Amino acid sequence: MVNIDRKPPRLATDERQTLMALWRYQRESVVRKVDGLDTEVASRRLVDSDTTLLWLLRHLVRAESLWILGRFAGLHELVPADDARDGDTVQSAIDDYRACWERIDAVIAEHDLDELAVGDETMPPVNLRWIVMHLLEETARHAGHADILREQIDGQLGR
Amino acid sequence: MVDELVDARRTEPAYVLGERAMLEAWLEFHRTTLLLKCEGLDDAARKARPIPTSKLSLHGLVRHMAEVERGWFQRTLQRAPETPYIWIDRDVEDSELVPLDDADWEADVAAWQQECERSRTSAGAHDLDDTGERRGQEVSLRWIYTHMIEEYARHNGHADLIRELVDGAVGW
Repeated sequence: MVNIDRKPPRLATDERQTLMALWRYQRESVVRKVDGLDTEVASRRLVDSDTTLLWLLRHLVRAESLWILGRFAGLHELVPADDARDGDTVQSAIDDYRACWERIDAVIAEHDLDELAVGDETMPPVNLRWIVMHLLEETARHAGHADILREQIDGQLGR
Repeated sequence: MVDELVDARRTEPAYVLGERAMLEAWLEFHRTTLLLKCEGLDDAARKARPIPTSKLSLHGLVRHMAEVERGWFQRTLQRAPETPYIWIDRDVEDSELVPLDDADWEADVAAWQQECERSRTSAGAHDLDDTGERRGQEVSLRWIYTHMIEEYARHNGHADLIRELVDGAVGW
């Protein structure tokens, strides 16, 4: 049985660095779950809820973009859908996910974690701290889904 | 589309909180999520391992998280490396996960809840910048909270699909 487990970075530093390092660890871990698979295999439906490895990548790009670009910053035109696209491959989805991190992290770096979102007047006030912690836990939870899907495909284990 | 689990015992963290309150609220959210994922099943279903190659069951995840709580909040944060394990035999890999034939759900859930309470007490005595030690590395309470959130969230992702494979129930 292949086990790719890598431990999360262990730190004693400030809030922002701690959050961003563990979020990055979970993002990279999602990529490790999908990397190297054929697109057909990564699109396989293995549970009734239709969660697939390829869809998870698209969904995480949408989640990060919706919260940070849309709801926090008001850049709604930059928020993509999470549906599969024609010609989607594992590599194109990974490339898009990584490109998304750069856009998202650049916005976060310019704001204090106590700052409130300005992008959606219909929502109650929400601060950047809540959004970043939510994206960390959402990424980790979907990484857990990816763990199970990958194990069903080829038995691979590890974070 | 997968809907939210609705239960009076679980509340999503308030949208505007300071650092410590936000960390505590997200950790409590995920502790309760794991409990909810285990409810409404009988003993056999909670012990079921629906992925043939995997040792993971819902019951096993509860034991695992109790051990993780003890590891970070007692052994590391309290600098008490001699704290014993609850179920783990260091000589046997994944010994908290299997076998569960003789494991008693009520007793194990109580042990987990008690461990969470011990964690709250330990954390309550420290600032976020206070550090503990794990295998020679210093980690802050801030890191422990943040790590526990991603650790629970990841295992709750496992619980989501295990539960779906056991009885079809879904919900975040």
